[in-house]
Amino acid sequence: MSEGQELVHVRVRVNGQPYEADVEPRTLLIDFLRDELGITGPHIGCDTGHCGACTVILNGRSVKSCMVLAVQADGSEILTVEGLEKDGQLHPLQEAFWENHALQCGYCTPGQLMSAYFLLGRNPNPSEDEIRKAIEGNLCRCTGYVNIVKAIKAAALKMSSPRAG
Amino acid sequence: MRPAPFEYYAPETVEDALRLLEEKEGAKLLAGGQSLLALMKLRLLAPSALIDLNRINGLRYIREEGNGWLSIGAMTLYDELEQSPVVRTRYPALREALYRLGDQQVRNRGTIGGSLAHADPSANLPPAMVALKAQIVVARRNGERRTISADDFFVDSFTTALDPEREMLVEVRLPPWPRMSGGTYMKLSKREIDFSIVEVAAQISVDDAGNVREARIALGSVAPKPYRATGAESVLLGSKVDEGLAARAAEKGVEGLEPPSDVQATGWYRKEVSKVLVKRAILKAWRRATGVEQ
Repeated sequence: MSEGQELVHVRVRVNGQPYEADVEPRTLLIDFLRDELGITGPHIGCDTGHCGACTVILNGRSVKSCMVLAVQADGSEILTVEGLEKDGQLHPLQEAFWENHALQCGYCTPGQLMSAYFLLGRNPNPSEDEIRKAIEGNLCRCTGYVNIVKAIKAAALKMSSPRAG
Repeated sequence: MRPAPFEYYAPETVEDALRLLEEKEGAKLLAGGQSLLALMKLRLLAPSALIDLNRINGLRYIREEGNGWLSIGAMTLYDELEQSPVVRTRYPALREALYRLGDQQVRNRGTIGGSLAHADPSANLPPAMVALKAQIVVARRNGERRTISADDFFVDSFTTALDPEREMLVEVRLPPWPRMSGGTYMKLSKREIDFSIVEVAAQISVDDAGNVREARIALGSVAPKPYRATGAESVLLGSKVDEGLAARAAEKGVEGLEPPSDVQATGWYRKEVSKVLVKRAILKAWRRATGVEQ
C-alpha cells in the first residue's frame, strides 16, 4: 500500500477479470469502475449515498460504490451487473426482472439486481417483507416496487427449484 | 462529486494508526466511511489526510467473555452485529437499533466504532449504548487504554470524550444483564432510510415478582447527545409496569426535554412523539423482561 497524496496503484478483480490502474486517493470506487475500467453497468444516481444505483458486490457484500474509495478496494473481488450473465445466459434474477416487467426506465436496475443478488445469497427463500427490507437502499422512481418485489420472489423460486426446460 | 484531495494511509496496526494520527495534522480516521465520505464529498469536511482503519487486523470481532461481558471490536460491521445470535438473544435493543440503521449497503460497510466516534445526535447506536450501559475502550500510543462509560462518552453534537488528535475507539463492551431483563429500540422517521425524528432505547430488569429493579431509557434526535430519561426510570423502580404507570413515567421522563426544531419536525412535535415512544418502549421492554413477549 503506497502512502501519501501521490497516485496509488489499485489492483482489483471485477467479474473475474484482473484490472489495475493508478488513481488519486480521492477517486471513488464508482468513478474507478466507470471511468478507469469502462465498466458502466453500475450507475451514478444521487452520488450522495442514498439511491443505491451504484451498488456492487465487494468481497461478497453489497455496497454503494460511491461511498467507498477505489484505493480501499485494492486487492478485492468485485461483482457488477455485467458479471451476472454467464455465457450469453441471463442470470435468473435478470430473467425474472424481464419477465415481470420490473423496470421502466431501468436506471436503478443494476443496483436493484445487486441488492437482490446479495439477499438471495443469504436467504434463498425470502418473504415479501424481507425482500422489501433488502431493497430499502435502492430507490426506484418508476415502478412503485411492486414488480421488483415480484421479480425477486420469482427468481428465488427459479433458483431454488431445478430448472425445467 | 469528489472529496478535496487528501493524503491516504492504510496502517496495519492500532499503534501505527495512532502514530499517524499524532503526526499528521488535520488527519481523520476512516472506519466504514458511510458518514465521513459523504461529508467529504459534500465538501463539508476536507481533512488533510485519511487514516484508513480497514486494513488493521484484530478490530473485527464479537466475543463473549468469561465474566459475561460482550466485547465488540470497533471495526465490526453493523451487519455482522445484526446477524450475531448473541446480540439477537441477549441485546434485543441493540439488534433492533441495528436492524433499522441505514440500509443493507450501509450495514455492510459501516462499523460500530465509526458510528459512536462520529456521534451524530440522530444516529441509532448512541442511545442504545447508553441504555445498555456500554463501556467504550479507547487506545492511545504505547498500548495505553482507557475505558469510558457511554454516559460520559457522548459530550455534545458530533463531539465525544475522545481526544481527536491522539485517541481512537478500539472496543465496545456490553455488560451482562440479569436473566430477567428485556430491552427494545423504537424510532419514528418519515421513511425508513431518513434521519429519525425521535428514537428511544429502553432496557429494564425485573425481580421474580415482576417489579422493576433497574430501568435505563435513552432518547436520540431530541438533544445534542443521548438524553437519559432519568425521570421515567425512577417512576418505574420497584413497581410492576402497566399502561398507566408507563404513561406517567413517559410524562415524567420528557419533562425537562427541549428538542430542536428542524426540517424533519418541530420541537413541540418531537416532545409529543417522545412521550408516546417512551411509553411504548417501556411496555415492550417490561414484557420482554417478564417473559410475556420474546
